[in-house]
Amino acid sequence: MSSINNKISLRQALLLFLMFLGSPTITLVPRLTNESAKQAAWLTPIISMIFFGLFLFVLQGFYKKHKEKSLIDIFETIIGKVLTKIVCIIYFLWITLTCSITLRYFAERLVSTIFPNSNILVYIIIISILISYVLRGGIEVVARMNEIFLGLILIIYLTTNVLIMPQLKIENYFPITYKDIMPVLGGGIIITSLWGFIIVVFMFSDKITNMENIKKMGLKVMLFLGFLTLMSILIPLGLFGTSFLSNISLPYFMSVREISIMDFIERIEASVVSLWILTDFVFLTVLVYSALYVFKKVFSLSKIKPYINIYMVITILLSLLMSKQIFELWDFSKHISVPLNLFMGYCIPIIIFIVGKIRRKI
Amino acid sequence: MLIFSLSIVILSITEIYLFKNKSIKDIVVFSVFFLVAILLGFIYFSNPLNGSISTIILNLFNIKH
Repeated sequence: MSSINNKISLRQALLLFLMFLGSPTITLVPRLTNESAKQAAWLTPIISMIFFGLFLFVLQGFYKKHKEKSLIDIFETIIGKVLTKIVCIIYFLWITLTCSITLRYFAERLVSTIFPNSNILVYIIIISILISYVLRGGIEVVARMNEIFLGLILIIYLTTNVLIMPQLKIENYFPITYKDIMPVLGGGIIITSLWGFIIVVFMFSDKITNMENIKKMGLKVMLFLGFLTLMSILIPLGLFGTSFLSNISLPYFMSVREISIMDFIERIEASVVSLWILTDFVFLTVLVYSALYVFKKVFSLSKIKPYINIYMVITILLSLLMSKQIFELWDFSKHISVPLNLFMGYCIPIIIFIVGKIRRKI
Repeated sequence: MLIFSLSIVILSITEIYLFKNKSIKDIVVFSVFFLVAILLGFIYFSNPLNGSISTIILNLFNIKH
């Protein structure tokens, strides 16, 4: 399905969502779920799939009557103009914050893995220029580019997983008892909070066709995403075990470092770095587009193009001011970003959905 | 800071010049973006913050880090 009249298909939109979750899934998820659920961490995607599956019904409810509208327009129909503007400004701030955190994580990861002792500003500026350039072509260019990237990323991801499988130790996944229920729930909430970024894609749903199929296609994407998340937890957990894993900052990257094919081919972790760069690039591009789109809707602006460069400058500065050390950013992600993502990604849409049902607007 | 400010000013003038329909609303909104960028640039270069945005927010919510 190709893009028609500057619009992207629902399939392309969901592929964007699938792609941009790649980076947090392999960097944050293994470490945070292990902290919460220990050896039972591999069960956490099940919890997320239940929450997310239910949320898809809410999204389907929004688009039942308003399949051609953006989520912001639907909010306006339900809660009125003034409240929608307030909600939109909150969303804009949240997306900007997420964008600056992601930008900082992107640079920090590169510096801590393959380019030690280099200045993070270099990587931040390079990717920002690239994002500004690509976004001038519109979201449809990003969506089409993403279709090509995603195939490449999946090949890299699945190949590395297959290569590492012989080294996994089954005993690292057990024992599991009824006492693991609450920790698994806690770990599941971390993954669920990341999946809440689906709302970012639907901020511009008036540019997406076939929105009426959101439940059907969303469930398929959810199952696939659940499988990929499960793999990103199973690999480091099976290889290192829960106690060693808690001391590693980038578990998946370290796991891939262990790959050795007949003592001949080693150090293929560069493939994981390319995976980060591509997924972070798509994530940042979608975030910037979405933030500016929300801003355009709030102030009824004519175009978003002139604001891309200046917005990128703001994001670069925010990412630099975000933290002095990577540890601060981890704490921020764990204690602030996770609850904030849950609130913005699920709570606000669900509250508006309930109001819409009561007022019979949807 | 001087180089940064000059770059932002040049960028802003170029963008405003390239606006297709120069409505006042567009220019006002752009000016707000410009001022925010300059303010953040000032904060980054002069470093008046005791800590970072993360620590400020974490401290605000009384979270140990």
